[in-house]
Amino acid sequence: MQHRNAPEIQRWLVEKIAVRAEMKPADVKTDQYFDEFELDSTEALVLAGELEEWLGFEIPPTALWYYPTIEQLAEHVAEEVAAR
Amino acid sequence: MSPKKLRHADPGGAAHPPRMLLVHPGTLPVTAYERLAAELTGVVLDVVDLSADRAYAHAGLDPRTPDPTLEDLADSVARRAASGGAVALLAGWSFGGLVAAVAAERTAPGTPLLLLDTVAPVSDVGAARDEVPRWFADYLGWRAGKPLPPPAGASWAGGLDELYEPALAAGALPPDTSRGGFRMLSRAYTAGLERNFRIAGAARAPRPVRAHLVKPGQGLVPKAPANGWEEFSDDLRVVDCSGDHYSMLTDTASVTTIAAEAMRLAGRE
Repeated sequence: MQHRNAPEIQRWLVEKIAVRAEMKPADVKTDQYFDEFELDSTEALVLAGELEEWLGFEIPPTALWYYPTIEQLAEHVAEEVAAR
Repeated sequence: MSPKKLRHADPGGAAHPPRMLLVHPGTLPVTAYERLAAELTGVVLDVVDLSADRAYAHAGLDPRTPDPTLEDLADSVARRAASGGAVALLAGWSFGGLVAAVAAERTAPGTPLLLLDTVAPVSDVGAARDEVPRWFADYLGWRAGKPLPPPAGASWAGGLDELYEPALAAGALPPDTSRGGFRMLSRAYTAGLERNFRIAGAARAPRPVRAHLVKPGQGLVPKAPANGWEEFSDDLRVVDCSGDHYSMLTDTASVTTIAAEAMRLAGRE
């Protein structure tokens, strides 16, 4: 398991979403809702799986619904990392 | 539940066409029905997206979330039916057809029903699981815009990993998709099916009347002529179409078939 902090997780999410949404990373707003990036449900699931793989522990796919922005998800995941 | 409309009907307006209220269970985006909406004449397509229902969606993603019942889902659809203009027919694709059938039975008996490759509740879930690699390949093929052959040897239990490289090669997913991302997708796909099996298995099977089933040649259960509905319906009409479970919603020929059946049921042929 990789010990990532919230800024690292946020950067990872920004880069991934920038590629998927064909945006510049600088244009990806971290307080914007995931569904406003026009990711379909399949792409959101793939993103959750890739995050899980990068972190090295399971992330419930519902996390993107309960923590619907990059900021919120990064904070939540960082807390999960710290608790392990 | 927040239904998504492809077209809007003015409530109760006599000069406005009746609605075809279609229950969509997710997996594909609602935009998959755009071609069907365009083909309909004299009938407005109004899509209820079950995947926007948090209880239903999360039951397929998180095993700690309790399943909604089929009756819960049907009653949500019935509330939606009551809130807009006249409903000329209820319809549903895949599991959505089962929800539509229960909604018709509980609140609008006699409303014509159009089932799009919906399978009757069956007890043989094991046999259904054997089909999952092919269904998942068809789903990925729909995303790629071209058929994706099911791999020999892939299994429900095997996580469908063998489809990873063919899916990327076909363009079903972005080329940089990792195995972990793909694995989450296949897990969610199978978990969603398991949720639907549980919900269907826990409910009394509906007995559709005035029902038509549009059945693609390579649909969910090609060997069952009426997808098992013959046990539950005396007057089900089966109409064949081209394609598979997913491509039937977007292939030009099968969409024409679906639209013709819908307009016939709505009295608009």
